[in-house]
Amino acid sequence: MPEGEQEKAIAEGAREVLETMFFAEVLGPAPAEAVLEDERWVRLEFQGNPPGRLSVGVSAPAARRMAADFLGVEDAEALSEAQVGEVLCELANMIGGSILSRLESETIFDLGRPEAAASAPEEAGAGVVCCRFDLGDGMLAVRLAMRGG
Amino acid sequence: MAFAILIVDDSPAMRSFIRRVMDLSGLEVSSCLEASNGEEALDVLRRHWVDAVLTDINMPCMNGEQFVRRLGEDAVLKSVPVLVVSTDATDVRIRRMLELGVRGYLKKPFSPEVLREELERVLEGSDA
Repeated sequence: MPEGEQEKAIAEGAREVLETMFFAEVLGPAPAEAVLEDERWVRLEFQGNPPGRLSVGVSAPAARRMAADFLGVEDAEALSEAQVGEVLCELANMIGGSILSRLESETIFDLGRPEAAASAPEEAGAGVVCCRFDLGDGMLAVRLAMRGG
Repeated sequence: MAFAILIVDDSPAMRSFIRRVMDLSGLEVSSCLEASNGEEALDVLRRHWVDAVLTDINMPCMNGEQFVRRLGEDAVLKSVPVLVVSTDATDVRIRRMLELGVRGYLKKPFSPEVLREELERVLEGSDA
Protein backbone atom coordinates (compact mmCIF):
# COMPACT_ATOMS: atom_id res chain seq x y z
CA MET A 1 0.00 0.00 0.00
CA PRO A 2 1.53 3.37 -0.97
CA GLU A 3 2.79 5.42 1.98
CA GLY A 4 1.08 8.53 0.61
CA GLU A 5 -2.28 6.79 0.87
CA GLN A 6 -1.57 5.83 4.48
CA GLU A 7 -0.43 9.35 5.37
CA LYS A 8 -3.62 10.78 3.89
CA ALA A 9 -5.76 8.31 5.85
CA ILE A 10 -3.91 9.11 9.08
CA ALA A 11 -4.27 12.88 8.59
CA GLU A 12 -7.97 12.69 7.72
CA GLY A 13 -8.78 10.11 10.40
CA ALA A 14 -6.95 11.89 13.22
CA ARG A 15 -8.41 15.28 12.32
CA GLU A 16 -11.95 13.90 12.12
CA VAL A 17 -11.71 12.25 15.55
CA LEU A 18 -10.01 15.18 17.29
CA GLU A 19 -12.34 17.82 15.94
CA THR A 20 -15.61 15.91 16.27
CA MET A 21 -15.28 14.24 19.65
CA PHE A 22 -12.40 15.92 21.47
CA PHE A 23 -13.19 19.50 20.52
CA ALA A 24 -9.51 19.89 19.64
CA GLU A 25 -8.27 21.95 16.74
CA VAL A 26 -5.54 20.53 14.57
CA LEU A 27 -3.39 23.48 13.55
CA GLY A 28 -1.52 21.46 10.96
CA PRO A 29 1.45 19.14 10.75
CA ALA A 30 3.88 19.60 13.64
CA PRO A 31 7.11 21.38 12.67
CA ALA A 32 9.87 18.96 11.75
CA GLU A 33 12.04 20.19 14.64
CA ALA A 34 9.25 19.80 17.24
CA VAL A 35 9.92 17.24 19.94
CA LEU A 36 7.19 15.24 21.65
CA GLU A 37 7.98 15.83 25.32
CA ASP A 38 6.67 14.10 28.42
CA GLU A 39 4.32 12.19 26.16
CA ARG A 40 1.91 9.34 26.83
CA TRP A 41 1.63 6.49 24.35
CA VAL A 42 -1.13 4.02 23.64
CA ARG A 43 -0.85 1.18 21.17
CA LEU A 44 -3.22 -1.32 19.68
CA GLU A 45 -2.84 -4.28 17.39
CA PHE A 46 -5.27 -4.92 14.59
CA GLN A 47 -6.14 -7.91 12.45
CA GLY A 48 -7.14 -7.32 8.87
CA ASN A 49 -5.69 -7.30 5.41
CA PRO A 50 -2.97 -6.41 6.16
CA PRO A 51 -2.71 -6.65 9.97
CA GLY A 52 -0.52 -4.32 11.98
CA ARG A 53 -0.08 -2.03 14.92
CA LEU A 54 -1.11 1.56 15.60
CA SER A 55 0.54 3.78 18.20
CA VAL A 56 -0.74 7.16 19.35
CA GLY A 57 1.36 9.55 21.42
CA VAL A 58 0.16 12.81 22.98
CA SER A 59 2.04 15.45 24.97
CA ALA A 60 1.01 15.18 28.62
CA PRO A 61 -0.66 18.63 28.97
CA ALA A 62 -2.62 18.17 25.74
CA ALA A 63 -3.65 14.65 26.85
CA ARG A 64 -5.05 15.98 30.13
CA ARG A 65 -6.88 18.84 28.43
CA MET A 66 -8.37 16.51 25.81
CA ALA A 67 -9.49 14.05 28.50
CA ALA A 68 -11.22 16.87 30.40
CA ASP A 69 -12.99 18.06 27.24
CA PHE A 70 -14.07 14.53 26.36
CA LEU A 71 -15.46 13.83 29.83
CA GLY A 72 -16.95 17.29 30.30
CA VAL A 73 -14.81 18.05 33.35
CA GLU A 74 -13.97 21.71 33.90
CA ASP A 75 -10.85 21.22 36.00
CA ALA A 76 -8.44 19.07 34.01
CA GLU A 77 -6.16 18.76 37.04
CA ALA A 78 -8.94 17.00 38.94
CA LEU A 79 -8.72 14.01 36.62
CA SER A 80 -6.82 10.94 37.78
CA GLU A 81 -4.06 9.43 35.65
CA ALA A 82 -6.33 6.42 35.11
CA GLN A 83 -9.10 8.62 33.68
CA VAL A 84 -6.67 10.34 31.33
CA GLY A 85 -5.37 6.93 30.28
CA GLU A 86 -8.89 5.61 29.60
CA VAL A 87 -9.65 8.56 27.35
CA LEU A 88 -6.36 8.15 25.48
CA CYS A 89 -7.22 4.50 24.87
CA GLU A 90 -10.57 5.59 23.43
CA LEU A 91 -8.79 8.22 21.32
CA ALA A 92 -6.46 5.54 19.90
CA ASN A 93 -9.41 3.22 19.30
CA MET A 94 -11.32 5.86 17.34
CA ILE A 95 -8.29 7.04 15.37
CA GLY A 96 -7.50 3.41 14.55
CA GLY A 97 -11.04 2.72 13.39
CA SER A 98 -11.17 5.90 11.38
CA ILE A 99 -7.88 5.20 9.61
CA LEU A 100 -8.58 1.53 8.92
CA SER A 101 -12.08 2.26 7.66
CA ARG A 102 -10.39 4.41 5.04
CA LEU A 103 -7.67 1.88 4.18
CA GLU A 104 -9.55 -1.42 4.51
CA SER A 105 -13.13 -0.51 3.68
CA GLU A 106 -13.74 -3.71 1.73
CA THR A 107 -12.57 -6.10 4.43
CA ILE A 108 -13.45 -6.78 8.03
CA PHE A 109 -10.75 -5.67 10.45
CA ASP A 110 -10.61 -6.28 14.17
CA LEU A 111 -9.13 -3.73 16.50
CA GLY A 112 -7.43 -5.11 19.58
CA ARG A 113 -7.77 -3.56 22.99
CA PRO A 114 -5.74 -0.32 23.28
CA GLU A 115 -3.06 -0.46 25.94
CA ALA A 116 -0.87 2.18 27.53
CA ALA A 117 2.74 1.85 26.45
CA ALA A 118 5.69 2.85 28.59
CA SER A 119 7.63 4.36 25.72
CA ALA A 120 7.48 5.43 22.09
CA PRO A 121 7.25 2.59 19.56
CA GLU A 122 10.52 1.46 18.05
CA GLU A 123 9.31 0.23 14.67
CA ALA A 124 10.87 2.01 11.73
CA GLY A 125 11.54 1.37 8.11
CA ALA A 126 9.40 -0.06 5.35
CA GLY A 127 5.69 -0.25 6.11
CA VAL A 128 5.88 2.26 8.97
CA VAL A 129 4.30 5.67 8.54
CA CYS A 130 4.42 8.36 11.23
CA CYS A 131 2.51 11.65 11.21
CA ARG A 132 2.66 14.39 13.84
CA PHE A 133 0.12 17.11 14.39
CA ASP A 134 0.32 20.47 16.14
CA LEU A 135 -2.49 20.87 18.69
CA GLY A 136 -1.43 24.30 19.93
CA ASP A 137 -0.77 23.18 23.52
CA GLY A 138 1.12 20.09 22.46
CA MET A 139 1.54 17.49 19.81
CA LEU A 140 -0.13 14.29 18.72
CA ALA A 141 1.80 11.58 16.91
CA VAL A 142 0.28 8.63 15.05
CA ARG A 143 2.47 5.75 13.94
CA LEU A 144 1.03 3.06 11.72
CA ALA A 145 2.94 -0.15 11.10
CA MET A 146 1.27 -2.49 8.63
CA ARG A 147 2.75 -5.95 8.27
CA GLY A 148 3.53 -6.64 4.65
CA GLY A 149 2.44 -3.08 3.85
CA MET B 1 -41.86 11.23 26.25
CA ALA B 2 -38.77 10.10 28.12
CA PHE B 3 -36.85 7.02 27.06
CA ALA B 4 -34.90 4.30 28.82
CA ILE B 5 -31.59 3.61 27.13
CA LEU B 6 -28.91 0.94 27.58
CA ILE B 7 -25.34 1.83 26.59
CA VAL B 8 -23.05 -1.17 25.93
CA ASP B 9 -19.38 -0.31 25.62
CA ASP B 10 -16.27 -1.64 27.34
CA SER B 11 -14.85 1.87 27.70
CA PRO B 12 -16.12 3.75 30.79
CA ALA B 13 -14.93 6.96 29.14
CA MET B 14 -17.06 6.31 26.06
CA ARG B 15 -20.12 5.40 28.14
CA SER B 16 -19.68 8.65 30.04
CA PHE B 17 -19.27 10.59 26.78
CA ILE B 18 -22.45 9.11 25.27
CA ARG B 19 -24.41 9.93 28.44
CA ARG B 20 -23.16 13.52 28.32
CA VAL B 21 -23.91 13.87 24.61
CA MET B 22 -27.46 12.60 25.17
CA ASP B 23 -27.88 15.20 27.93
CA LEU B 24 -26.52 17.96 25.70
CA SER B 25 -28.71 16.92 22.77
CA GLY B 26 -31.85 17.55 24.79
CA LEU B 27 -33.15 14.03 24.33
CA GLU B 28 -35.43 13.14 27.23
CA VAL B 29 -33.96 10.14 28.98
CA SER B 30 -35.74 8.63 31.98
CA SER B 31 -33.04 6.09 32.75
CA CYS B 32 -29.65 5.34 31.28
CA LEU B 33 -28.29 1.90 32.07
CA GLU B 34 -24.80 0.69 31.28
CA ALA B 35 -23.04 -2.59 30.48
CA SER B 36 -19.42 -3.24 29.51
CA ASN B 37 -20.03 -6.17 27.14
CA GLY B 38 -22.79 -8.21 25.51
CA GLU B 39 -23.05 -10.69 28.33
CA GLU B 40 -23.65 -7.98 30.91
CA ALA B 41 -26.09 -6.30 28.54
CA LEU B 42 -28.20 -9.46 28.23
CA ASP B 43 -28.30 -9.69 32.00
CA VAL B 44 -29.46 -6.06 32.28
CA LEU B 45 -32.11 -6.56 29.58
CA ARG B 46 -33.58 -9.57 31.40
CA ARG B 47 -34.15 -7.36 34.45
CA HIS B 48 -35.02 -3.97 32.92
CA TRP B 49 -37.20 -2.71 30.11
CA VAL B 50 -35.40 -0.32 27.75
CA ASP B 51 -36.58 1.56 24.66
CA ALA B 52 -33.30 1.23 22.79
CA VAL B 53 -29.79 -0.21 23.05
CA LEU B 54 -26.64 1.55 21.88
CA THR B 55 -23.84 -0.96 21.46
CA ASP B 56 -20.20 -1.00 20.47
CA ILE B 57 -18.82 -3.95 18.48
CA ASN B 58 -15.31 -4.59 19.77
CA MET B 59 -15.76 -5.73 23.36
CA PRO B 60 -14.35 -8.56 25.49
CA CYS B 61 -16.39 -11.60 26.67
CA MET B 62 -19.21 -11.10 24.17
CA ASN B 63 -18.75 -8.63 21.34
CA GLY B 64 -21.47 -6.54 19.73
CA GLU B 65 -22.09 -8.93 16.86
CA GLN B 66 -22.50 -11.93 19.19
CA PHE B 67 -24.74 -9.82 21.42
CA VAL B 68 -27.04 -8.83 18.54
CA ARG B 69 -27.24 -12.48 17.41
CA ARG B 70 -28.25 -13.53 20.93
CA LEU B 71 -30.90 -10.81 21.05
CA GLY B 72 -32.32 -12.07 17.76
CA GLU B 73 -32.62 -15.59 19.19
CA ASP B 74 -34.56 -14.40 22.25
CA ALA B 75 -38.33 -14.32 21.78
CA VAL B 76 -38.76 -11.42 24.20
CA LEU B 77 -35.66 -9.34 23.51
CA LYS B 78 -35.55 -9.56 19.73
CA SER B 79 -37.88 -6.56 19.39
CA VAL B 80 -35.56 -4.21 21.31
CA PRO B 81 -34.21 -1.66 18.81
CA VAL B 82 -30.43 -1.63 18.54
CA LEU B 83 -28.22 1.19 17.32
CA VAL B 84 -24.59 0.22 16.73
CA VAL B 85 -22.03 2.86 17.72
CA SER B 86 -18.65 1.74 16.46
CA THR B 87 -15.29 2.86 15.12
CA ASP B 88 -15.57 0.15 12.47
CA ALA B 89 -17.18 1.80 9.47
CA THR B 90 -16.28 -0.73 6.81
CA ASP B 91 -19.03 -1.52 4.31
CA VAL B 92 -18.74 -5.22 5.07
CA ARG B 93 -19.29 -4.75 8.80
CA ILE B 94 -22.19 -2.32 8.39
CA ARG B 95 -23.95 -4.68 5.95
CA ARG B 96 -23.42 -7.64 8.25
CA MET B 97 -24.88 -5.83 11.29
CA LEU B 98 -27.86 -4.51 9.34
CA GLU B 99 -28.53 -8.05 8.10
CA LEU B 100 -28.59 -9.15 11.74
CA GLY B 101 -31.43 -6.72 12.34
CA VAL B 102 -29.90 -3.63 13.93
CA ARG B 103 -31.95 -0.49 13.29
CA GLY B 104 -29.04 1.86 12.74
CA TYR B 105 -25.28 2.13 12.52
CA LEU B 106 -23.50 5.19 13.86
CA LYS B 107 -19.83 5.56 13.13
CA LYS B 108 -17.47 7.03 15.72
CA PRO B 109 -16.58 9.86 15.70
CA PHE B 110 -20.02 11.44 15.76
CA SER B 111 -21.44 14.81 16.75
CA PRO B 112 -24.18 15.21 19.41
CA GLU B 113 -26.64 16.24 16.69
CA VAL B 114 -26.04 13.08 14.69
CA LEU B 115 -26.42 10.86 17.76
CA ARG B 116 -29.74 12.51 18.59
CA GLU B 117 -31.03 12.20 15.01
CA GLU B 118 -30.09 8.54 14.79
CA LEU B 119 -31.50 7.72 18.20
CA GLU B 120 -34.76 9.51 17.46
CA ARG B 121 -35.06 7.67 14.17
CA VAL B 122 -34.48 4.34 15.90
CA LEU B 123 -36.95 5.18 18.68
CA GLU B 124 -39.64 6.35 16.24
CA GLY B 125 -39.45 3.01 14.50
CA SER B 126 -39.59 1.03 17.73
CA ASP B 127 -42.55 -0.99 18.89
CA ALA B 128 -42.57 0.80 22.24
